[in-house]
Amino acid sequence: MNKNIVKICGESDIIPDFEKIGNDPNFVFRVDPDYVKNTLYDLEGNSIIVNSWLECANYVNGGWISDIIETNLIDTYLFYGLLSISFSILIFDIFKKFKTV
Amino acid sequence: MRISKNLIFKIIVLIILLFLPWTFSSQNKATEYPIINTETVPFYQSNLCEISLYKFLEINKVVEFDIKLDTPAEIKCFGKINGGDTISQKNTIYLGTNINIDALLQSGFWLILLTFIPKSKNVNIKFKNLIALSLSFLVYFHLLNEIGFYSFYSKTFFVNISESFTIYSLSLTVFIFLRVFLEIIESRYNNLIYFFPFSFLIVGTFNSLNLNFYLLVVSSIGIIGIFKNKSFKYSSIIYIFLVIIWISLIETNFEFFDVDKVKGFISSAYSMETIIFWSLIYLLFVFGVINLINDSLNNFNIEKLKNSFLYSGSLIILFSYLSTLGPIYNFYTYYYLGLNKTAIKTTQSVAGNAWRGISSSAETVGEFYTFVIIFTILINFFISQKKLTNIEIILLVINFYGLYKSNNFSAFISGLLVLIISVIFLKINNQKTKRILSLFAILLLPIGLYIFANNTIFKESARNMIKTGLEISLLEDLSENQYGKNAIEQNRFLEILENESNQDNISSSLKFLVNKYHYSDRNYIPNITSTISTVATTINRTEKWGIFFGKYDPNLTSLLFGTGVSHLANYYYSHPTTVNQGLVLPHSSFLSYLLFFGIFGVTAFIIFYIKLILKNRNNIPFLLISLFVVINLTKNDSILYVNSFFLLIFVINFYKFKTLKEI
Repeated sequence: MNKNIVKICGESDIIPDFEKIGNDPNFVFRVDPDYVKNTLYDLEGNSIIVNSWLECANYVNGGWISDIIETNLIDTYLFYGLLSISFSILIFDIFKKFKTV
Repeated sequence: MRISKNLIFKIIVLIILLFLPWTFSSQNKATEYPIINTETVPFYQSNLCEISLYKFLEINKVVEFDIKLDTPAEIKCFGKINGGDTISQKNTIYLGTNINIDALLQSGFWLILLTFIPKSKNVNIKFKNLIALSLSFLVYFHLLNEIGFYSFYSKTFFVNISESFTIYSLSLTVFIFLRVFLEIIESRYNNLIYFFPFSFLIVGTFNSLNLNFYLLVVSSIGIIGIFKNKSFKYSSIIYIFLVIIWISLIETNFEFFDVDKVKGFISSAYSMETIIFWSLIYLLFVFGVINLINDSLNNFNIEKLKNSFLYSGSLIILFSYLSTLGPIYNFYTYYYLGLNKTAIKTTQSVAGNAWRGISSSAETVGEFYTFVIIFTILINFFISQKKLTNIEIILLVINFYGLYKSNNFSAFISGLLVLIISVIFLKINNQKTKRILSLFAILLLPIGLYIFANNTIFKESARNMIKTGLEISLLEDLSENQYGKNAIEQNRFLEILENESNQDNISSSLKFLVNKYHYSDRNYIPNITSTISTVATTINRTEKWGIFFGKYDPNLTSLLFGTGVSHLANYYYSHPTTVNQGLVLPHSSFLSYLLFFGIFGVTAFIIFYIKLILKNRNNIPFLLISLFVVINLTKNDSILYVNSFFLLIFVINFYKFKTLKEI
């Protein structure tokens, strides 16, 4: 199962059959009153509100993501960017030292 | 005049940093955005994180609005409009800012400004990576332990690396900017001291960090100092014992304290870890300033420093007026000057007739203007012995205007006193007459106080402070007499003190003062309670010092040694009173340091300073600026701000400069 499903939709005992859902054009997702509504986005910036864990899992499986993932992605890129700069500084200094020795 | 390519490049980078971050919109929906008014505010509330600040300004060229910062916004919402509201009938937009981008953008901007400092003789700084790395670890430790503050400023502030990288990105940012700083200053080190007065203009407090730019960069100079100064090592050992005492005094941890306008130099929590961080950074900062001064003693040009003070004071006025032109200017000065508090939005004076401009305190900035004035005059009269130039006169007038607007009467009076004494020393040749007249001028203050306090009309002033202290205490059984007056109003303080139900609700310091007031032979000066209360009344501190003693509840050890430098949370929360909301500072640097270092620390400082003054008694400029600073420390919290603290350390070390002539 896509690891983002748990991150975005939360934990659930349901074992989703995405193939079956995808092949059934008449499949209707039932609203789960206990499920906290979640907004998902696709790569083009379109948004959708999902009303149940199964609906959420289905969309996430199809490549939709939430704000959390998007934020985490930028956060991750920034971190690795800064880490690379820091290492570059350290490596540059080591090379400089070797050059002067 | 030839402008170098390097200079053009730096100016371009500055312009980019000033404008570019606020120009990115998510989609081309800007044209659909309506002009902001009461009806369209809901539209701004539901369409978040799409248009940039500049797109918004383009749409709302002619309407009035206010800008507030949405500091916990995500990175993608940085510089974009992230909400709207109508507050006090004024339409307000929320501009998204983010902790990571703030740290990068603000430190980058300030570092570029540092490169404008002219180059001096090259200084080889060893272990640059190690210094930057150790301070970034220290900042990481700080971030881990002030979660309450940072959770408020960031949605993604989690300690666990699997949840967020924010904390690690911030530590890396600190490493990079400190490393770049050390690289920049290698070729400018000997000129750095001339630019410290500009710390009153570019305050350097990060928008969403409880840290200050100067605190970090000067601390890195402090680490350099430890390697070469033996006295730093010895004083560190004594300091470690003090830190151990502070840690042992912790009874309850406080996770969050609203640092408000003292952001960047005061802990937002109270725990063993925060005591360790703030004690270390404070010590490194002190070492840094002393080290910088010591290294600048040779070939020091006091004229350059004087000009920096003059220009800094004048630019503060200029930027203060600029901040009143509109919300965008106000936002820009706040963000790029790193202000602790947004600048005042009007040119009109407010509460107490004081105008603070870009400064977070009218008193502090008033003190600064006065310092600039007396420093300039003292340098010209005593050291350079030359007339003021036309430019200097213009800049002095601007600083005088700043002092007038700040309405700091005590700074004005103490400045005047300093100038009178300096005139005595300049115009009178007889040494004996000089000393007698100066002593008389200095004694005017306590004599006046004595006459004022013992006048029957003003006898009330002797008990005003304890009255305020009792009024804010959580007292029970305050029954009223037939005239509707309670025991406090009837001055029946001892009765309140002896009421058993009040025992825990009255602070130990207030109990001491009330007892001293009642059980002494004399209720008036020199009775300790009456003396403090009268001084407080005379300098308009009755309410503030009354609140201080109402809240200050030390045990013997904390009275002697304090509860930790840069920590106000314990004082603020451990003894509940009616004043537990909003930041009410002690309004005296001595009282603040009584909290930090206790009687032991404050007494040690006073003895040290008196000894220093006696040793340098022939150094008139040093004596006079010391006199001015000490008078103002009594009634102002300025020592809680990084720039004022820097100035204090500078003044204490001022005698070291060889350019000062002995008169």
